[in-house]
Amino acid sequence: MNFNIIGYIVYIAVIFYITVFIRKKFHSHGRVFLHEILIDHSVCEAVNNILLIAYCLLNIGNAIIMIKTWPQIETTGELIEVTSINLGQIILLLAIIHFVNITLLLLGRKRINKLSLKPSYHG
Amino acid sequence: MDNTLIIIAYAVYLPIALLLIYYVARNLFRNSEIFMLEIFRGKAEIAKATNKLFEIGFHLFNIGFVMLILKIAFIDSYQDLIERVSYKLGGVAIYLGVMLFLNLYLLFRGKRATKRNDERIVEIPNADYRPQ
Repeated sequence: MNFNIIGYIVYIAVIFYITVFIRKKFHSHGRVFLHEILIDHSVCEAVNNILLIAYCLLNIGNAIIMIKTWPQIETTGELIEVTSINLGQIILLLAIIHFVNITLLLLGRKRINKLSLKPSYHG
Repeated sequence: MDNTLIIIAYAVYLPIALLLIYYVARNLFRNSEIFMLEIFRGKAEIAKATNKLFEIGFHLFNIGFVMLILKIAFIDSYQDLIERVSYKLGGVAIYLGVMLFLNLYLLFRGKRATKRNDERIVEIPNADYRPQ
């Protein structure tokens, strides 16, 4: 069996796990977060779902495009190396996007609090 | 021969690094919940959710970084193997320590911001004056 194919199978399995199971955690915990941050509660669910779809699309698209950049794998050591580095890139990118999202939402909350003059946690 | 050595190096490096991340994250985020409760003024639900979100982000970030720097170019002998793997693991440990202190700094900053906000809320009745 070709080493590349083994690598692809492991890679796709991990990406599948990230897309399906971690997504649920983000969805359920992010809902509470959004309800705290957004004053208009009717858009919370919509924003949450849009973020979820964006997460899935980004993840899957990125993973599939990255497959094109894989070199021909000759040895077992190279197999571990290439799979790990590719997975690392995608996971790191996800983490950075996640923190940027949190920061943007928190900044938005600060601005809303300033505009409404009455902080939402007292109302 | 060196191919086998590289596989041994990866087989030692990856599990230890991942376990280290798991251990650090578990400790940090079990203890940061109390900070979060203070930052969000005792609202347990939002504190727990934020804590969890940060935990997932911390995991993703560190696992991604550790997997990204995995590559070891060439290994001569068993001595070389031990040296390279220990250098890498030491780097990961220092990196994790820096991330831990960064997280603690953010938590303390959040706490301070909450305190400042509280003081501002107390002062609001006095600040209600508007020039005619």
